[in-house]
Parts: sequence; structure tokens; C-alpha cells
Amino acid sequence: MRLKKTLLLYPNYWRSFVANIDVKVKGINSLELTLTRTVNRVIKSDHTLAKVGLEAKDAVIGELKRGFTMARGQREKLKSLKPSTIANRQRMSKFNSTSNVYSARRSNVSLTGQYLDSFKTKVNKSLGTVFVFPDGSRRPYTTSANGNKSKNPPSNKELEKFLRKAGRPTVGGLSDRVTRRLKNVVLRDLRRKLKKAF
Amino acid sequence: MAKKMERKLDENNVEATFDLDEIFGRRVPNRPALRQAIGQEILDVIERRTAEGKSRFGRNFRKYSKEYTQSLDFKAFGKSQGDINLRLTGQMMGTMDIVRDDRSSVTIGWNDPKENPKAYNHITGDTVKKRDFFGLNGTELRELKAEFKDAFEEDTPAISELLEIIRG
Repeated sequence: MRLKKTLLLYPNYWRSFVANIDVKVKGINSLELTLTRTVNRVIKSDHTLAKVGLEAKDAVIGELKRGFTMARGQREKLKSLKPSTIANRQRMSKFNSTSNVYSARRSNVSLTGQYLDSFKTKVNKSLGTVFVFPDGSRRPYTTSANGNKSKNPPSNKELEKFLRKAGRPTVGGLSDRVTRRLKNVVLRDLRRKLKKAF
Repeated sequence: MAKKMERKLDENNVEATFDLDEIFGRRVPNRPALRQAIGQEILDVIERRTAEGKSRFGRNFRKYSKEYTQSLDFKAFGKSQGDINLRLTGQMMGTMDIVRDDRSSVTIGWNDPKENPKAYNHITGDTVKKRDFFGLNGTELRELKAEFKDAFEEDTPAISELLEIIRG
């Protein structure tokens, strides 16, 4: 009721309200998305945050599979693979089940697909924040026809650090276009809330 | 007689304007917040129907080409042949928005210059198979009217309240 009364008394309030919608993006080894305090106070919904997180996660993973990263705040092609890496990937593909976007020469952090499949989202409703990050342990690779396995496979978090140091950061930012789309997710939920007030 | 919905289809500018006076059959009050709610309902109807794989007139969208289903993009975003919903990255449907409104109209479209040509191609079948998703059909316009017809009456108690506040 208070929102409706405010909007009827002050029609221009809506315009300043819309201008305050923002999805702040930050992160290094995870992606952190935060709604402004004003919006979070009105939304009070982990449902909206969950939607924002899911859209962000799908965007990050989809682009990585295509060979692009948004980790540095814009969409850029992942660094090409060295010939030795390509050869190693070709060899490993003989003993391991590969992801449907695998290609030996394609720099898209996908061999078996474990890393990208591990990405999760986590909502902190009180802060109005949702995190997107790789998580969990990895299955060892089979390294030979004998069925030998790689020893002590890194966790997905460790792999994220390794990839970042190798000049292939995978998480921590979004392109402006995707950020605008996420802002729209929030704006749409605000409008739907408005509809209920009428 | 004015139209309830008018579409403008240009490769660089795709939009649909909804005449609220015509839709509701009366002079609608000047309520920016109400127009935002109506605009959002229009966007939701289009999105829901498109997600079900149906065109503006309720027909199933034409199937994807074999070439497209074998592309990296298709696989990268986890699509399947049955998923004919005009959603790959989600950027086009996700940025469809209210682009402007005034006392008696709401216009939807895209502010992103990259999305207009995409939408244009889908709607007209210019470079891809025609899958016209954009706008509301007659039934949907009638349902929109039914959804919001009481929203105008509800203003009246709030206006009385406003008068009381002004009078102190």
C-alpha cells in the first residue's frame, strides 16, 4: 500500500526509482553481483537474486564454451592454446569422455566439461548479493590406455586460480550488455510487484 | 479508427505501440506507474508465449535448421531441437523493454542496437526462418483489458485519501 500511495502522490518518484536500479559487478575468483540498497529493500526476494545469479551463470558458462571470457569486464577471446597443449588434449580425448563443445584446438576451458559444470550460485538475501563461482572437487583424468589416473587432481577453485594465472581468467566480471540484461531482470520484478499494488 | 497496437518494423528499429485508450475503451488516467505495470504485462505475455514455442498467432515456430543445431553456439548454450523459443544467449528476449510511454500509450522494443536487427530477422524471416513473436493478438489484448480494467477504479479511494491529506 505504501508503495502505491507514494507512487500516486509523487508520479516522478517512479522515474528516480528506476534510475536507482543497479547491479554492481565485482570479483576476482568469483563473480559477485549486488543490488542497490533501495532496490533490495523493496524487492526483499531471494527469488529475484536467484534469477539474476542463474542468468549470470548461464552467460558466463555459455561464453566460455564459445571461447570467450567476460572476467575482465568485457567480452574477449580466450588466449589461444600452445601446440603442446593441443597435442596433450588430443591424447587425453582418447581416454576421457569429452564435453560436447570440446575440440582439441579450441581454447574454451572444456575437455571433459567438469570445470564449467561445477559452477554454482549462492544468494545472500540480507546483503542483496549473489555469488557465481566454480566449486567442488574434480574427477581425475584417465591418462593412458591402461586406465592410469592423474594423481591429486586440483579442486575447481584451484583450477580457477591456475587458469587466471595462465592468462585465461574465467570468472569475476561481466560485459556491459549482460549487466544491462541483469538490470532488466530486477526492473521487471519491480514492475510485477507494482502490478500487484494495483 | 485508431489501432490498439501498431508495429514499426525496421532493421534498426523494431517497436510496437499500444494505444491504451483504444484497448480499454475509455480515456485512461495519466498514471506512469500503471503504464509500467501494463507494459510489463505485455512483455510477460510475449515472453511466456515465445518460451512455449508459439508465434503471435499461436502457431508452433518452425524447426531449427540442421546446420544450426550442429553449431557451437547451439551446444554452448545447452539447446535442443525441441527448444524453439528464440532464446540462445537470452539477450534478445531479456532486453526487450518499455522504450517509452505517454499519457495514453506504451511502446515496447529494444534500446540495444544489436538486438533490433536480430528481432527484425525473426519477425520478418529476412535472414532466418520467419518466427513472428512480437506483439499481442486479439485474444491477448482482450485479456490485457480484463487484467487491468479494475486498476482504474482503484485509483478513486487513493485520490480521496490524497484530498484528505492536502486538506489536512
